[in-house]
Amino acid sequence: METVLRTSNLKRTFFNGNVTVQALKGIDLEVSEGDFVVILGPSGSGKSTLLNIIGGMDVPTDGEIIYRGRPLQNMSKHELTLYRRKAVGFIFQFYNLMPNLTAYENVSLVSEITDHPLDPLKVLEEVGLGARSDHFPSQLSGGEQQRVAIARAVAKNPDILLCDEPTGALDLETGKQVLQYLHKFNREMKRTLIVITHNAAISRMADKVIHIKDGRVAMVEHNSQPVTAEEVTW
Amino acid sequence: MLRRKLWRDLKANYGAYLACAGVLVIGLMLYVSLSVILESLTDSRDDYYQKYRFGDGFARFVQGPAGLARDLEDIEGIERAVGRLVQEVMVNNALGEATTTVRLVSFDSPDQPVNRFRLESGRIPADGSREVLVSPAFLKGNEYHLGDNLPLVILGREVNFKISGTANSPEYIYEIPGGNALAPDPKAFGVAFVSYSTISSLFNMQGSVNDISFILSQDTEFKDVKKAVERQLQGCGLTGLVSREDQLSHSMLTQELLGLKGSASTTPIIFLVVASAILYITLRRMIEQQRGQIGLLKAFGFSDREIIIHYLGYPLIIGGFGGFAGGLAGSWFSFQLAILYQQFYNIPGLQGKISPGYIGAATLLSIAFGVIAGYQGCKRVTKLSPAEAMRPPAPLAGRRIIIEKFGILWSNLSTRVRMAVRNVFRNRQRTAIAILGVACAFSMMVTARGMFDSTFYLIDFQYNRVELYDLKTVLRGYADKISIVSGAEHVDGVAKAEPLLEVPVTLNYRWHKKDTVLTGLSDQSSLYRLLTQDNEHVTLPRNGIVISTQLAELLDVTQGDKITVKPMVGDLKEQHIPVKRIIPQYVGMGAYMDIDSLSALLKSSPVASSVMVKVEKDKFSEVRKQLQKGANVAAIQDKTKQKAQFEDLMETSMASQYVLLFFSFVLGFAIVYNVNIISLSERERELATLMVIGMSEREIGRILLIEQGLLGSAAVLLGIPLSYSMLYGIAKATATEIYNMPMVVKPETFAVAAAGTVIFLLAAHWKITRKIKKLSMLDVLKQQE
Ligand SMILES: Nc1ncnc2c1ncn2[C@@H]1O[C@H](COP(=O)(O)OP(=O)(O)OP(=O)(O)O)[C@@H](O)[C@H]1O
Ligand SMILES: [Mg+2]
Repeated sequence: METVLRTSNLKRTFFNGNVTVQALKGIDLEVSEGDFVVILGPSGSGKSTLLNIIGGMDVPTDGEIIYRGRPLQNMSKHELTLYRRKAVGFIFQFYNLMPNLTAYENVSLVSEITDHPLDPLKVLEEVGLGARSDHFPSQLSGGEQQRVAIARAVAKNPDILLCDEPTGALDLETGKQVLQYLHKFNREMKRTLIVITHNAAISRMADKVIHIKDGRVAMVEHNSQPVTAEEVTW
Repeated sequence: MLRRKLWRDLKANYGAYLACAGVLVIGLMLYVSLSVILESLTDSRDDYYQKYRFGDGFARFVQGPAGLARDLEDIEGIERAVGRLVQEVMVNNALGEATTTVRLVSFDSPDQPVNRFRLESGRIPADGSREVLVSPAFLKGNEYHLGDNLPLVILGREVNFKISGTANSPEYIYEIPGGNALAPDPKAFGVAFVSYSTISSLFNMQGSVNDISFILSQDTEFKDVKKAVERQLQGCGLTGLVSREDQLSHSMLTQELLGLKGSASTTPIIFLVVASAILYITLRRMIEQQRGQIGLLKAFGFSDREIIIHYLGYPLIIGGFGGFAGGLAGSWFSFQLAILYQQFYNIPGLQGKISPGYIGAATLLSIAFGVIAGYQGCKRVTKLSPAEAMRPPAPLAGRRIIIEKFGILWSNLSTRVRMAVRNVFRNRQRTAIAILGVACAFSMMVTARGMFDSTFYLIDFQYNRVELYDLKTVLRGYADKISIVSGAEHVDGVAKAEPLLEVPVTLNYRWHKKDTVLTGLSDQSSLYRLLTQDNEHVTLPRNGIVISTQLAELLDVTQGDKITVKPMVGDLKEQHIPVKRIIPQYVGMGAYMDIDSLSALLKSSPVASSVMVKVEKDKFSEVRKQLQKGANVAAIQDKTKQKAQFEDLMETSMASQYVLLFFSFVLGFAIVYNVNIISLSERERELATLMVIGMSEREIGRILLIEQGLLGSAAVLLGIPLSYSMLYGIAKATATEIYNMPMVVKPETFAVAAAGTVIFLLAAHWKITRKIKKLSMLDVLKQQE
C-alpha cells in the first residue's frame, strides 16, 4: 500500500505570552492508503494538535509532514486551503454545521467547491437521512447532525477523513451508528480514516492504533483482525 | 473591578465605538454650529432692527408731497413715518458702459425716526453735497475706496459723486434689487445713501417723496392701518405697500432662518438616531456575548440595577465624549459658517462663538440618546436568572425565508448565495437598522447634490428657456410701446427688440388676495417665453390671464376661474379676468397678459415699461452705450451677467455639497461597519468551519460581499423615495414668493450617491475581511458551542 501520510520529528509548541507549551515533542508516524487509524491518548496529550496539523489547519513548529510526497510544512496559506478543500474531510466532536443551511445544503456547500464530489442526496441517503435532507440543523438530533457532518465530509470524496472524537457527544447507540458510517466509507471507498477517541473499545475496529502520550508516540499497535462496529462493546 | 472590565471592553471593541462616536460628533457638530449661527443671526438681526429703527410698513409710489409722512403719522396706530426719495441710477464705468445699478436712498438726517443707516466707515455726506455712502459690500465688490469718484447717470447726464463713507441699513441686510435677482451681486447692484436735498434737486423733485416707511405703535398690526395708508396715498400712484414680513431683505432673511432652523433640528437627529441604533445593537450583542459573565456577577450577588448601570457606562462614556467633542467641533464650525453668512448678509454682530450652553446641551442630548438606546439594548439583563445566564444562548434556528417561495429562482442559486441571502434575514431587526441607516446615508448624498441639480435646472429654465433676451432696458415709468421698441430696433447691433409692461396689481379671488406684478408681453413674445410643464410655448390670449402655479395655489384658483385684477397705477378700476392657463414657474409669483390688453386695463394706449433686446454678436458694449443714452432709462439689466453671477455663486457653495457627502459617507460607513462587526462576532464559528472545509478567505469574503450587495440594493431602493421626500421637504421649507426650488435630480446624482454607497460598503467590507484574515480556525473551533 502506498503511504498517504508520513511525519517525522513533528513538533508543535504554543507560545502564549511568557508561557510556552510543547504540545507535540517529535511525532513519527506513517499512514497507508485505506488504513483505519485510531489515535488514543489521555487528555492533553496532543491528539487534537496532531490532527489539526494533519488536516492543514495548523502548521508544525518543527519537523516534517508529508502528504503523498508533498511537504505540508512548506505550503503557502493558499496551498493549505486547497489541501483542506481537496484532500481532507474533517469531522468534529461538535458538528459545526451551518445553522441556516438545510442538511442538503450543508452537504452541497462542499460539493460545490470540490472537483469530484459525490451526489449530496445519495450521501445523505447513505447516512440514513435522505428523508430529512430539507431540515435545518436545529430540527435534527445530535446524532442526526453528526451524520450530516459526516455526509458533508464524505461528499467531498476526500483522500483522508479526519475525525476528532466524533462520538464524544453522542450516546452509545448513535455513536455506534456514526462509527458504522465512517467504517463503511473506509472499507467501501478505500479511503483513509483517522479517528481520535478516548474510547479504547473503538480501537478494536482499527487497522492501526497509535498511542500518544505527552506529545510523543508511545506505542503503535497493528490489528490484523479488525472487528465491525456492531461487534464493538463499549 | 467592573470599571476595569468596562475599559477593557471598550478597548476590545474600539472600532465599533469609535464609529459610533464619530457619527455622534458629526451630528452634534451640526447641531451646535447651526444653532449658534441661528441664534447669532436672529439676535443680531433683532438688535439691528431695533437700534436702527427698521420700519414695519413700506410704501412706494410715483410722487407725493413730503408732508405725506406727517399725514400718515396722524393715522391711528402709526407712530412714526419718514418720507424718502428712492431712485435707481446707473454707474458709468471707465469704459463708459453702465453695468451697475445703484439705488439712491435719501435721508433727512442720520438719526431720522425710521430706517436709519449704520455708518461703517468714513463720514456722513454733508447736506446738499454730491457725496454718497455706499454699502461695504458694494465698495469691496467694485474695488472702490473711500474718496473715489462714483459717476452716476442721472436723467441722461453724468453726475460725479464722491464716496464719503460706507453704511448699511436693516432694510438691505440682503442687498438685492428685487425682480429676478436671487443673490446679492455688488457688481450689478448696490445701495447708496444721499442727502435729501442733493437727490431732490438732481431729480427736480424738491418737496416731493416717492417712498414712505413707517413704524407702528405697539399692539398695532400692519393690516389695521393698511386701508388708511392706501387712502392717504391715493392719487400718488401707489406701486407697492408691504408690511415688514414682505419686505424683500427681511423675507429673504426670514426664509434663511427658517431653513436653518429646519436643518438645525432635523439633520442632527438623523445622526443621533443612527448613533443610537449602533449603540443599541452593539450593546445587545455585547450582553448576548457576556451572558456567562452576567450570570456570574448575579451569582456573586450583584443586583440587576448594578449590572445595568455598569452596562450603561458604555453609552455614557461614548455619548459624553461624542457630545463634548461634537460641541467643540461645532463651536469651531460656527466661526466658518459665520464667515460664509457674512458674504451674503450685511449684518453687524453676526459671528460664531464657543457657547458653553450649546456644548452642554449637545453633551446632554448625546448622553440622553445614548443612555436610552443603551437601556433598550441591555434591559434584557434583568430577565436572565443567574443559572440561565450562565448557560449558553439557545442555538440559532435556521429557517426558510420568503424569497424561497419563488422556487425556480431560489433553486438556481448556489448554496453560498443562499447562505448569504438567509444571513441577511437572520437578524431582521439588525438588518432593518442597517438598511435604514444606509438608506439615510444614500438619501443625504442624493439630497446634497440634488439641491444643486434643482438650482441649476432653475437657472437653465429661467435664463435659457424663459428669458431669451440679452439686455433689458428698464424705463422710468411707461413709454409708448411702438416708438420705444422701434427706437431700440434702430440701434445698430440690436437683432430684435420686444416690449414688456410691468404693472403692480392686486389680485383677488374670493377671500384670497395677493399684491404682485402683472407682466404684459406681446402675443408673439419670443424673448420672454411662457412655457408649459412640457416645455410648450404658451401664446397669450387676447382676454385672459396666465398665472404661475404658486400664484394659483395662493389664490386657490383653477383654470377658467375669473379673478379680480386691480392695478395700483393709472385708472384704479377693477376688472374680472378669466385665468386661461396655469404654468410652472420657479422665480417670482408671475402673472401674464397680452401687453395691449394690459395697457387697455390701465385705460392707456399701448405702453411698455421695459424693452428687451437680443444683441448681435460682439456688439454688446456699443448697444449698451446707445441704449443707456435714452433719457428715461432707469437701468439696463444684463441677463448673461446675471446668469453667470448666479452660477458662480452656486459653484462656490458647491463645497458644502462635499462636506455633506463626506458626512453621509461617515454615517453609512459607521453603521455598516458596526453591523458587520457584530454579525462577524456571531458567526466566527461558522466562518472558521468554512475555512476548515477548504474555502479560501476570498471565497468567504465573497459570501459576505453578496450580503453587503443585498443590503446595499435594498437601501438604495428605499433611499430613492426617501431622497425625494427629503428634497420635497427642503423645497417646501425654502419656498418663498421670490424663489421656489423645482425638484430635479439628475441621474448622475443617483449614480454618485450609489457609488458613494458602494464605496462605503466596500470600505466596511474591507475592514471586515481584514478581521477574517486574523480569525484563527483553531481558537474558534476549540471553544465549545
Ligand atoms: N492554542 C493553544 N495555545 C496554547 N496551548 C495549547 C493550544 N492548543 C493546545 N494547547 C495545549 O497543548 C496540549 C495538547 O492539547 P490537545 O488539544 O492537542 O490535547 P488533546 O490530546 O486533544 O486533549 P483532549 O483529549 O482533552 O482533547 C495541551 O496541554 C493544551 O493545553
Ligand atoms: Mg482534543
